[in-house]
Amino acid sequence: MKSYLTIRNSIKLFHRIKNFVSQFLDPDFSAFKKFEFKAVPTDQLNDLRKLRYVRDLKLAESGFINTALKEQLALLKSKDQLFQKDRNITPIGRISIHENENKLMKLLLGYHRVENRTYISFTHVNNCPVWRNYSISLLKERVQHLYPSRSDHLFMKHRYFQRDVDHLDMQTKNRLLHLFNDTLSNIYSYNRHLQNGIQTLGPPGDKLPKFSKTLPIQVEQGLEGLFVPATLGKNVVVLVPYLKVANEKNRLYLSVGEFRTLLGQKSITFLAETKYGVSLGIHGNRLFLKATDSVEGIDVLKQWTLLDDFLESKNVPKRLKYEVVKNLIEKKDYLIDVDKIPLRQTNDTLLLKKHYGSGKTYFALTKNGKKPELKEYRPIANLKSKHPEYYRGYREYMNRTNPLEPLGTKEKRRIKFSI
Amino acid sequence: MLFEITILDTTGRPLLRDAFLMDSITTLLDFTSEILQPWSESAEQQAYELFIHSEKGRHVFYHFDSLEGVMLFKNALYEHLIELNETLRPNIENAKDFTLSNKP
Repeated sequence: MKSYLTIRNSIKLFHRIKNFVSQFLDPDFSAFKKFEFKAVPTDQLNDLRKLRYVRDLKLAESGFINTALKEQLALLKSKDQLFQKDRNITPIGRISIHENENKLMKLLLGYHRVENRTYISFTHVNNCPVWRNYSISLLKERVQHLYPSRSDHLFMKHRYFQRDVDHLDMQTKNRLLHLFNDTLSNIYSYNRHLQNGIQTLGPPGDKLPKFSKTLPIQVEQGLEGLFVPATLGKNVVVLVPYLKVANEKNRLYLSVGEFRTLLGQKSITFLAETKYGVSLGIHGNRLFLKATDSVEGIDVLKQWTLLDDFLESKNVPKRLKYEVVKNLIEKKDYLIDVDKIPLRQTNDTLLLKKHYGSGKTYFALTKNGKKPELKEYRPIANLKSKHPEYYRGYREYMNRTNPLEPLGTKEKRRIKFSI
Repeated sequence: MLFEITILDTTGRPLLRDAFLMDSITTLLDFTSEILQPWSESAEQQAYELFIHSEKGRHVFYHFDSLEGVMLFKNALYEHLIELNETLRPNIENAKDFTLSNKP
């Protein structure tokens, strides 16, 4: 007991001397002691420096401080370390993951110039990021198990902090931009619900279909082919990359006409070319028509047009309408791609098509890689007499594969329709 | 990132001086440009002045015609800061061994 009191007295004495010195060296300390120490409740102090004054004054008074004050000091010290760390880190960009209007996760990327190290933050304390060393495994762990609760997909938003990184040297800027883009691609590949969040492209009707400005559309194959429709104006459509920071080079500026063509290309499966100057396409269970490239003057069929709309249109030449009704709809007079057989002897290919109305197979040969015209197709029965050198190859190929199974079988097998 | 906001009245006396944290300078400029866009900046000599700066320099400097504009901006900023501070509650799947689908 005696030694305990001796220690406490020593602490009191030490802090009395320390506070006496502080009164001369630190004017803020004197002001705090006079006006705030007894007047302001300790638990209302959010300033680490002032809380340290309280600690020193209490130790000088009684030789000890209570647990509440110790805990408050520890909390403010941790916060202070957080703020000090944040001061030295340059924010690179923000990535957030959403389901509809709900934000499920937000992460920040940062760069410490002195340490030459990148950081990542998933949480904030009083709007201050809690920075951790950047690591792919940490990113994967945080992202891969996120799931939507009301739908089957998630989507990402991102913002690159160009203004913040502008003061860095060019090499570092390029490195950080790559890191940000790679992080976007990685996050996308780690979560299957993000991969589900792609807008389905429908064929363009009289008006452009409505698109979400947050979900991507697949313009080309691969991750680089994902774009978000940022502007859908009356005259222009602007698509920005989904998994990259947008810039002048990688944005797509399309006229509405070009965008309609793109929608047609991406949504409508080409089915057959006809000898009446129109091509036949299919989307879902609906048939579409489009003028072939070689035919001019059919303005209404410049884009894929629903067959019903075409038949109801008053701007279509009557003769073409008659041919479509008579030959396409009634006789089903068109050829569907069936197979392509590479010929060993040459670099040419034997192309097979099936006549939809009769079920008969026709063939033609590519010449120096050039696609034959429709009128060049002949019945397959003529192959043996006209090109005996290719007939054996044809038989071998057909024996190896399922004969006359249409091209892209799995996909085409689903195409069953009647006009 | 720590920012300091200062609003001066028409005579140059400080109406508000405060500090706040936001993700970045870009985030701050995105926010202020969106809020200030519908307002036309005052051309008068005696106007309410708004400054926002950080250790890296001054980022926002704006003249307001009226106290109403100042209050609207200040309220929008503080509401935004409260929104930013809201805790997110992500859904996290327990299953750790599912395979990723091959969907594009």
